[in-house]
Formats: sequence, C-alpha cells, structure tokens
Amino acid sequence: MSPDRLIEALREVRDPEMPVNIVDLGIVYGVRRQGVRVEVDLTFTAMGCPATEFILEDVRSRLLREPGVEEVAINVVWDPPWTAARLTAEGREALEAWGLAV
Amino acid sequence: MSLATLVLSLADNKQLLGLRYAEWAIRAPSLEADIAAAAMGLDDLGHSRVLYGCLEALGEDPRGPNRESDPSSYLCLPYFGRPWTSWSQFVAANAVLDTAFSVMIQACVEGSVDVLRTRLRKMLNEERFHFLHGRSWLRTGIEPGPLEDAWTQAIEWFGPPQGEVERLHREGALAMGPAELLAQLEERLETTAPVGPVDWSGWDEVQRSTRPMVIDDRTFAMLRGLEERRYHPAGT
Repeated sequence: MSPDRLIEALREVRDPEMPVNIVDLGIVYGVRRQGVRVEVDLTFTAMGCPATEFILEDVRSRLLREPGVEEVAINVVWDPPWTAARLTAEGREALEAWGLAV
Repeated sequence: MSLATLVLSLADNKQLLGLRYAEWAIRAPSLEADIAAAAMGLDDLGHSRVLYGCLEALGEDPRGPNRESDPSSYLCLPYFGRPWTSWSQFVAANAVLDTAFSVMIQACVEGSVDVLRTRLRKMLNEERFHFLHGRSWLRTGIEPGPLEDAWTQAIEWFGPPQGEVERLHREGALAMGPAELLAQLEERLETTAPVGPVDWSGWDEVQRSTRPMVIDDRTFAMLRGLEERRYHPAGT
C-alpha cells in the first residue's frame, strides 16, 4: 500500500472545527509505512488547538481501517510551523466558501 | 539552574498566565477583549504543554512527585499566584510579562539547542497577536502599580547580570542574556523599564523572583484539574 493511498484515507479525516479535511488543511507533514506499521508526522494550526485529541484519534482509527495496518504512530511536530500558506487550493476554497478569511 | 529548569519555569508561568487569561474571558471591558482573553489563554496553555514536552528531549525533567501536594513546586512568578482583581493587572501581564516570555522564547529559538529551535518557533508567530493586544490596551492607560509590578517581575525573571541565564547565553544555548533580554523587551514596548535596579540579594534562582510565590488553594486545585472535576464528575 503506497503512502498516496494512506494520504487519500486521511482526506476522510475532517478538522472538527473547520469544514476541511486535514490533508487539504496542510497539517499532514508525512506518512510512512513499514510493514503493518504506519507513521504519520502531523502538526496543528495552533499550539493551543482544543481539538488535538479528536484529530489524533480520528487519524489513528481511520488508518487502522486500511487493509494490513495494525499499528499507527503519530509524531506531533511543530517545525516548520503551520501557516495558511500550507492550505491546498481545495482547502483554501473550502474555507473561503464558509466565509473564513485565509 | 539548568536549561531544563528555565524551560520548566517558562512552562509553569505560561500555564498560570493562560489560566489567568481564561478567568477574564467573561470579565474584560468589551466582548472583543473577552474573546481575546479566551483565545490567548488557550494559546498559552498550549504553549505550556509543548514546553513540558521539551523537558524529556532536554534530558532532564525537574518536576518531582511533590507537584501534586506542594504549590511551591510550581515555578511561577508571584504575579500569577492569585487571581487578578483589576483589568490593569491583566493588561500589564499581557503587555509586559507575556512579551518577556516571548523574548526568552526568541532567545531559545535563536540559540543552539535543537529541540527548542525547532519546537518553539511557532510560539513566536502566535505570540505576535498577544503582543499587539497587550500593547493596544497598554496605550489606553492603566494603573501604575500593576505595570511596575509586571516590569519588576519580568526583570527578576530574566535573572541577575552574571547568573545562569547569562551563562546559558555565553554557552550559546540562549541567544540573549539578561541585559539583551531586557533591551529587547524595552524595544518592543517602546519604553524603558519604569522601575529601579533590582536588589538581587534575596533572589531565588529556582522561582526567579525576590519575593516568595504563593499559589492560593483554588488555583492549585485548578492546576491539578480538581476544579474541573467538580463540574465534570463523569470525567474523573
């Protein structure tokens, strides 16, 4: 299973506070697979994000639904810091459609 | 004092600062200031979490088992020990102490310790808004007492001229020593510190203050999550 497929799976994980998935939000910094284990580098839009636990749990449970994935390790990273420049075009469009300034 | 103890002091102070900000989320002079207080409180609680997370990477966690029983185990400035009773205290903390912590974070980010260089950079982005908020309210004018208190405690928190912060500066872990930190704080706030020189003879290098820090019972209970449990018993 390629990292691309895992990235596509993560597109189904939505930010609990904003109408956008976490890939288009630009907070997924990397996904690696080694056998049954998947490792994800993830950041958050703010260090005080109150939704961190929800997002971590959603990422973990979604990846565990992929065939052959038995273990998910998530590294929360802060470098480089997230900014709105990390939004994809789709992410930016989704947020703007909801009236959010980005 | 080690770098880890300094980082713990930064973390503890930010945790208390976040808590005090949050207490004003329904008491500030305007709805916008209420919301800003809540947002800044959330930021600083988040910053404290990340700072606590740096301790392991620094190879030393100075927190002992007495954190659950001894309020003095929190390395906080006296300014945060009890709830603020005036908006001037909020503004002075927002403008002076929060900025003082940001200046120290800048010294860490520009220093030589990798974990601090990488993890703390985002704090500087987020703190920019705290600074703008504090400076704006400061310009509206506040009582001199809290302002002088905040400046005094900021200078004391930076430490004496030849103390451990200066040593960490000379070794490269911090990009600034106490003199440079104060100069940077004054430059950002476009003023000179409105207080006289500190008498360092009674200064405690762990609490980073000349005065004893006293945390009231309710604050200590909140730090341990006990107050929240009163309202959310199912979460215990």
